[in-house]
Amino acid sequence: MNDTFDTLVNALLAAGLYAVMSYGLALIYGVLKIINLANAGVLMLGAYATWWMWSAWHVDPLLAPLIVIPVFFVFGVAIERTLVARVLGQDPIVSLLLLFGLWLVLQNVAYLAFTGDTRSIDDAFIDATFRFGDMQVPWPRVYVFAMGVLSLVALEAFLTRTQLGRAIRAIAQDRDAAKLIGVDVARVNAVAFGLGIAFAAFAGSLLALIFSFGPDFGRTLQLKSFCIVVLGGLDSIVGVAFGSIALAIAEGFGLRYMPASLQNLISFVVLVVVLIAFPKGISGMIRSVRNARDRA
Amino acid sequence: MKPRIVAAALIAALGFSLTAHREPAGADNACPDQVVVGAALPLTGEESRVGGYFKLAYELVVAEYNKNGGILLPACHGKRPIKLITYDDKTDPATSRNLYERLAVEDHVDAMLGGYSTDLIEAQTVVPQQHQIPYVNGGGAATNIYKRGFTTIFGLLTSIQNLAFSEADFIEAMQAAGKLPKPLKIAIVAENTSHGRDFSDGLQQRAQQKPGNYKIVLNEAFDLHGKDFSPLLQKVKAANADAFMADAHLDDYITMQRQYKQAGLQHKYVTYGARGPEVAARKALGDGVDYIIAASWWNQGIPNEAVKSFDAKWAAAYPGQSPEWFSALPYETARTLFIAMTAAGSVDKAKVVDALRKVDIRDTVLPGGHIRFGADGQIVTPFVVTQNLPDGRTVIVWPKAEKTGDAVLPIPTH
Repeated sequence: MNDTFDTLVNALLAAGLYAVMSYGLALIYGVLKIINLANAGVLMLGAYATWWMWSAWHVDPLLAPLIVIPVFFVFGVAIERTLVARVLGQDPIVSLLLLFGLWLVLQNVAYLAFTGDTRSIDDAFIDATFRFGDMQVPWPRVYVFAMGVLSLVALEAFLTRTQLGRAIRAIAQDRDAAKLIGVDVARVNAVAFGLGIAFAAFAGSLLALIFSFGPDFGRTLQLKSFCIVVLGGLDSIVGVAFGSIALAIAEGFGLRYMPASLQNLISFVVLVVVLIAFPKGISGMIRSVRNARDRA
Repeated sequence: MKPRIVAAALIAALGFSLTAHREPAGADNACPDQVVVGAALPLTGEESRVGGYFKLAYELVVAEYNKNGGILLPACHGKRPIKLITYDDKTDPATSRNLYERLAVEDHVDAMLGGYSTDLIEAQTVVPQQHQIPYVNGGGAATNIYKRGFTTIFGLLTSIQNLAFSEADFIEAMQAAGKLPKPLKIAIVAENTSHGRDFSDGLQQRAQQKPGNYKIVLNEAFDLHGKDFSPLLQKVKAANADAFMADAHLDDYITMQRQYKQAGLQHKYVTYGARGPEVAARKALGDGVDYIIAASWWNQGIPNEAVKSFDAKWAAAYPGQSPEWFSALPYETARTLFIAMTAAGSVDKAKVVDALRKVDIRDTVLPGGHIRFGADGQIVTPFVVTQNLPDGRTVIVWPKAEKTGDAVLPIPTH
C-alpha cells in the first residue's frame, strides 16, 4: 500500500515536470502548426541561464525565471521574425529542418560558451526535503509541480480572458477565419512562438533545480515531450496536463514490474497506441464524448 | 569516340594521380622522418570533459618526448620527433570510427592512441584491427572490447569485472573487521552498457562464489545519460538493502546521487563504481558525495615516486587543472606506446604490436606500478578503493599496501 502511494506521489511530481517542459511545444504547434525541434536546445539554454546567474551573480535559482522568461520571450519573437516566418506555409519538412538546425547551433554555442562539463546548481533548497507519510519528498520537485499547475492556470487564463489569447485560440482553430475577422496573424504568430520559447526556457530553468546538465541536455526529454503532446492532443494545453499525468502514471506503475532501462520504451509504446487508437489524443477524446453527449 | 577515349584517359590519369597522391613516400618505411600517431577524442558532446583531459595528457607526453629529440628508434640509429594528430569525434561512435579510418588511410599514422568511453572504443577499434595498426587506449575497460579476438588492440584500463572484484575484496575485509554485516544485502544498479553489465556480472560472480558474504536483493539496469531516476530509486528503497552499488558515468552519478539524497535513501555502503572522487561531483553536490566509495584506476594519493613526478609535470603544464584518473591513464597510454616503439626498434607495425604484447613496464603511475597486457590485450592491475571524506579529502582505503586512510564504515546516518 505504501509503495503504491509512493509511486502515485512520485508519478504526480513527475507529471508536473513533464507538463512544464511540454506546454511550449503544444502552444507553438497549436498556433503555427510547426513542431519546434529546437525545444530541447532552448530548454538547455534556460538551464544554463539559471546556472550562470546563480554562479556568477548569486541570483536565487527560484527567482531566475523572472529574468529567463522575458529574455527568452524576446529571443523567441526574434527567431520567429527572422527565421520561422520565412518558412511558414511551406512543406513541414522545411520548418522541421530549420528548427533542427537551430537546435544544433544552440548546442554548439553552449559547448563553446560553457564547455561540455556537467553542471548543476548546489543550493540549500535543492537538497531540502520534507516527510509526507512514510515518504521523503524533495522540495524542488514539489516546486516544479506547483509551477506546472500555475503555468496551466496562467496559460488558460491568458488564452481565454485576454484579447491576444483569444486571437491565439482563433488562429489555432481556423487561421483563415481569424484573418477574415481582422486578427493580425503575423503578430500573433510571433507572440505565440515567443511564449512557446519562453515556456521552454522556463522549463529548463526549473529542471536545473533537479538535474545536472550539459549542452546535450534535453534530448531524451524532448522525445518524452513529443509523446506527451501527442497523448494530450497536439494543440491543447489542458490536454498536455492530462497527457503528462497519464504518461507519468504509466511509467511509475509500469516500472514497478519492468526494468528501469525500459522507462523510455513505455513512452514510445504509449505514443504508438495513442497514434493508432486515439489520434486526436486525450483532448480529442474529451471533445468526442462532449459532442456525443450534446447530440444525445 | 575520340573525346570519350580522351575523357576515359583523363579520368584514369586523375584516378592514378589521386591514388599516387594518397600513397605517402615511404608508407611502409619503418624509419620515417617523424613518427605520426593519431587519436579521435570526444572533445565535444557528452564525454567532452574527459576527452579534453585525454588530449592534454597525450600532448604532455608528446611534448616531453619531443623536448628530448623524440622517440628513440634503435633500428633507425637515432630519435625521431613525434607528430600527434587529434580529431573530435563529438562523442559519436560512427564519427569516431570514420575518423580512425581517416587516420589510417589519409594520415597514414604509424600507430593510434585510443579515445574514451566504452561505446566509442568498441566502434573505433575495428579500424586499427582491419589495417593492422598498433592501437593503445586508456579509456575502455569493458571486457567486450578485448573479447573479439583482435590482435592489435591494447588497453590500460583493467576490466570493470576486476573493479567489482576489488570492491568485493574490500567489502570482505570490512566484514571481517565487523564494519559491514555478513551477508551484505546489496542493491546493484548498473548502466545498460557493457561497462555496467561487467560490473553487475562481477558482483554476481562473487556472490555466487561466496554466498555467505553477499545477498543480492536487487539487480537493475538503467539507461545511460538518464534523467529521472526516481522510479529506479523507489525500487532501491523497497529492496531494503545494506549496500547501494551503482555503476554510472559522471553525469548519471551526479544526477542519481542528488536524487538519492533527495529521496532520503541511506545505506551502510554506497558506491558508483569508478565514480566518486571527481572534482566536478564535489562541486555539484557538495557534502552529498561524502563517504562514497569508489574503485579507481588511479588516484593522486598513490604513494609512489612515479605519481609524484607525474603530478609535478601535470601541475607545471596545466596549472589550475587538478589531475584525475582520466589524465594519468592517457599519459601512461601514450608512454606505453612509445616505449613499445623503442623496444620494437622502429615503427614497423607488426614489430610494435609484438613489442606491446611483451611490454613489461615498472614504475608507472598505475596502482601497483606495473604495466603488462594479458593475452587478450587488456591490462591486469588492481584498483585502488577510495572514500570521500567530509573534509573534502579522498583517501585510499584499499589495498593495504597503498592505503592512505581508514574507511568510515558503515556510512554514518544523519
